[in-house]
Amino acid sequence: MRRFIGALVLVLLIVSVIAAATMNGRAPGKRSLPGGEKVAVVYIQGIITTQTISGGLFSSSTAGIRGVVDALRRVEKDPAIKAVVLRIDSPGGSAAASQEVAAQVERVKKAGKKVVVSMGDVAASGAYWVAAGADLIVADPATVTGSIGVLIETIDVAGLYGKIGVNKEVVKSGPFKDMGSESRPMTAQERAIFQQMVDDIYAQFVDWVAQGRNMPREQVLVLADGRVFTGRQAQSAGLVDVLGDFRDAVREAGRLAGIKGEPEITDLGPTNFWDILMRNITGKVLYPADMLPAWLLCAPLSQR
Amino acid sequence: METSEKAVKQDFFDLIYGVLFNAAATFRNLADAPPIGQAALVLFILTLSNGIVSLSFFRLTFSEIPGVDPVIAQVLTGAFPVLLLLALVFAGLRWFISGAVLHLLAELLGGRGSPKGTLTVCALAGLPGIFLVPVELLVRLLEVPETAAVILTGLTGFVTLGWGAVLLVIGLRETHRFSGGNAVLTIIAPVTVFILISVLVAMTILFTLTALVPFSHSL
Repeated sequence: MRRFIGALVLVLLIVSVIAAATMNGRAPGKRSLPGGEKVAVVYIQGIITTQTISGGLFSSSTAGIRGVVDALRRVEKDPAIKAVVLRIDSPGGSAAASQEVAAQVERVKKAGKKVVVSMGDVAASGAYWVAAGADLIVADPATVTGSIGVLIETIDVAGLYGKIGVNKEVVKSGPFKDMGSESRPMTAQERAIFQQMVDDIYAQFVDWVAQGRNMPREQVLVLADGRVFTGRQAQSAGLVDVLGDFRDAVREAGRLAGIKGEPEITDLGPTNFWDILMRNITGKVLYPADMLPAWLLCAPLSQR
Repeated sequence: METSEKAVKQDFFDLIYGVLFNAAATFRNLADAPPIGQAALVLFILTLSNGIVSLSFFRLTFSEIPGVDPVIAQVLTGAFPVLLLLALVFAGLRWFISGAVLHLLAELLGGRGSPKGTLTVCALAGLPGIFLVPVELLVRLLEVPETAAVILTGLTGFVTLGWGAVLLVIGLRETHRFSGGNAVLTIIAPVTVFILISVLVAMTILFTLTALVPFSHSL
């Protein structure tokens, strides 16, 4: 009997170790956060690109979308999260990256979750592309938004190359393989090709806004000449639903999701080394909305 | 009196049961021929299992954080064998150092046990730690809320620590054939000395810093 109990203790240990080791295969986000119904907050900050580009010590970085998409995927899968507030502070970015985030926003909506956008200082161009798909857009009256349009920029430094004695030789498989090259002026044919690309992406943008905002395409076209709007102007134009701050957006998200009282917030970003370290030490960042410090709610995100 | 009892040969499973649930008789029985190999095996199993579980949960926590670079998880996975090896090396070092210190103090207090016996007791006294792994796993599997999980694992840790200390006292008492009071003193002495040294160092640093700071004047 003694030997049996001794062996049993050892077996319990071995089984536990094996079980713990096999838990590693679980997909992120499958584990529900403790507590009741929650509103998640996901941040989109900086220029939207598919890749994060570090600007070094003295330059600005771009906001790679991987973290945003991961966070939204977690929102999609976690049954405890009923709504998400997308806190946007971005001048836009690449169309493809914006489309990827917008597509993930759609998946979140299809999972039955509500998506509310809270605009900070700026939510223009590609950032508006992302916002357009939300169930509700909340902006500060002075937020800069809009800029519905597309541009492709190239640079011609052939004159500079000539001055410093640089002569670039190009061997190409087709006439347009080096279109957009900085070492020569753009040809008329290349300009036409670029224009077609711009027009196509522009049409996709306009369609997306019309669909997301439930507006006639013609009405979007009137607004989509590339101009920016203040939050108040955007509300008059139908590009924004409600004027308010981040806290209003959280409350709206809770209301749309049918959460009674102050919703509990799950902060899903941003993440850097110290955030990760602190989360490991203190656990998940969970606190009710009414416990959010005033400085966090009132100050622009760029100051956080 | 204890030495007159005939030592009964114990196998590994007997030893595990005995140390956990019948400590005094088991340690008395192994005093004359301490099974240091089995004790080393216990230390190895405990360190390895705790290491695997801790590293697995740490990696799992990392993978659950959105936006975390997957490279970090890959690096952690790649570093597993090295980290486990380091854990084993440090556990071995700690075993020998703590064994040496306890044996020295036990001898000073009149203990008559062998160094092998002290080392065996040091390793086997960690056996209650065997229950930490299943508890930690259950907390994860049942998705116990954060605060309750911290309380539960903390409580388990506290209980196993206390249990381990009791086993150490009993083990030293039986292998060194001295009183329980001396055994307690053997364990408490290094801890007390360490606390005293820490307080002295802290006070020295504090006084040095105070001397460097200019006097403040209040109006």
